[in-house]
Amino acid sequence: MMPSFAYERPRSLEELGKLLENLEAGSFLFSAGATDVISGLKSHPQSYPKTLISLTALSELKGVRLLEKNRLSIGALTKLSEIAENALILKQAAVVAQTAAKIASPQIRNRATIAGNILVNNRCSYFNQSRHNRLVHQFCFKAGGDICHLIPAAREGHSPLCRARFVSDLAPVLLLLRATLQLWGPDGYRKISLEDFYTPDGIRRNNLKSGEIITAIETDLSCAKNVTYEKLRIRNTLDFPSVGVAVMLNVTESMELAVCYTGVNTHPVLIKLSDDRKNGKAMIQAACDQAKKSAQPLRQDHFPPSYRKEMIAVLIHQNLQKLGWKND
Amino acid sequence: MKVITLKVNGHCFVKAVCPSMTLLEFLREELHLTGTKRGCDVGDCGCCTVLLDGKPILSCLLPVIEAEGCEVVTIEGISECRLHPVQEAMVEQGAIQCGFCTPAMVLNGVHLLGTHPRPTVDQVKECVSGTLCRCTGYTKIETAFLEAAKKMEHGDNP
Repeated sequence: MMPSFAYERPRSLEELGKLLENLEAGSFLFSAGATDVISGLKSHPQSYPKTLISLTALSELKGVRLLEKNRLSIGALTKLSEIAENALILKQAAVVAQTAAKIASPQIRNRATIAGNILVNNRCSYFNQSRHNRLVHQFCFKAGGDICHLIPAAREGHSPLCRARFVSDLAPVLLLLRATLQLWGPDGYRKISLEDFYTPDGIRRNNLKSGEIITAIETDLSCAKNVTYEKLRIRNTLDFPSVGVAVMLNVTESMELAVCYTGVNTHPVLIKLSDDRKNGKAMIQAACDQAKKSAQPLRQDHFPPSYRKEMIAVLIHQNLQKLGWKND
Repeated sequence: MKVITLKVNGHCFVKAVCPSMTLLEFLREELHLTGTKRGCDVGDCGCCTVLLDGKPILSCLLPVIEAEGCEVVTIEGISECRLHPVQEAMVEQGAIQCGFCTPAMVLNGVHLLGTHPRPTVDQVKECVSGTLCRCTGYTKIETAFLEAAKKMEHGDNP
């Protein structure tokens, strides 16, 4: 059994606020679907919180609804299986539903939430190991130790650098839908665009402050029909993406192409291009080149780094094909 | 310790539990329902699948305290006195070898046929995709689910 921790399940944000007043930063951990949190705790015993705060009873975090100005709000607690079947999401932003339907396994999708996928912990083949494996090797930076098994230059004495890869499937899609996150913290509500949310640090991962939670995700629907997502993984189920690529193609008076990939770097990488002359072929080539240049895959996945790098361009083309783009 | 109330296989239980206890540990060690198996214990293998409010979930990743007020169905609770058509079909089709994934597979099948009485092959594949079987190669399990669907369509209900 896991070591004991206190458990709280506030029924409103007000109650959560009062609870947080009496808790020290770093002594508590939020959980919603608990899939990533509990599996993380089981193999990472030194990260045990004193208190686990369950967010599942917060009704403020539930519900999917249309907002003004063609925007859609998805409550943070919406489960992935609910997103995959939600009629409103299927109609307005089918790509979000389709992406959610391909995350992990059916059992996990019945618990895991959209906010949990946005906040999913970065992965590395040296970090995501059993407790025994970690005890034999030394704990890495991400596990609270002072070594990186992946990059020799980041060994002891150097500043901690973690290159655990970002693995959320929904983040690249939501980034192309210009999503903003509605956050709640002890200081009240604030909004942050998803583009400004992630940081390149594999340990810190994002700009969420202590005590802050995501309450809702708002997406722009104006280009939702022009976004698709494709991913590479060993099995067609359960696995985190080795590479995942979302593409947005919008051809009006000018041509707009946006690519966002996940599973490679420590954060999702967004590439935006636009061209008035509608030279599609050159733009796609430029996007592939930029993606290849920015990708920094390391030996932390079943597929070799060079292969994953090449696959970004392949997946960009697969997405473009799905979007009806013809190469000549 | 916290006192929680939950329903397991139709029976109501009121128990004091430790917040760090998972639903899997609760089922196996408190209620002695050992049909639910502990495989990897970190959400990879799917052997600990149970139905929570009718939907398959991984009991190794759920603190039991989160199941407060919910209804849990384990392999012991899917039918009384006789085998469920899914179980029957799995026996007939030779879809059981070592048997470790079988309780989870059966519960996946029961949920699938409850929501999709005439599943397509793709739906069956999707349904078993979250549970690892290292013996059968899945083919016989898929056949068994399709056969069970036929049985249930012909009025053979648990």
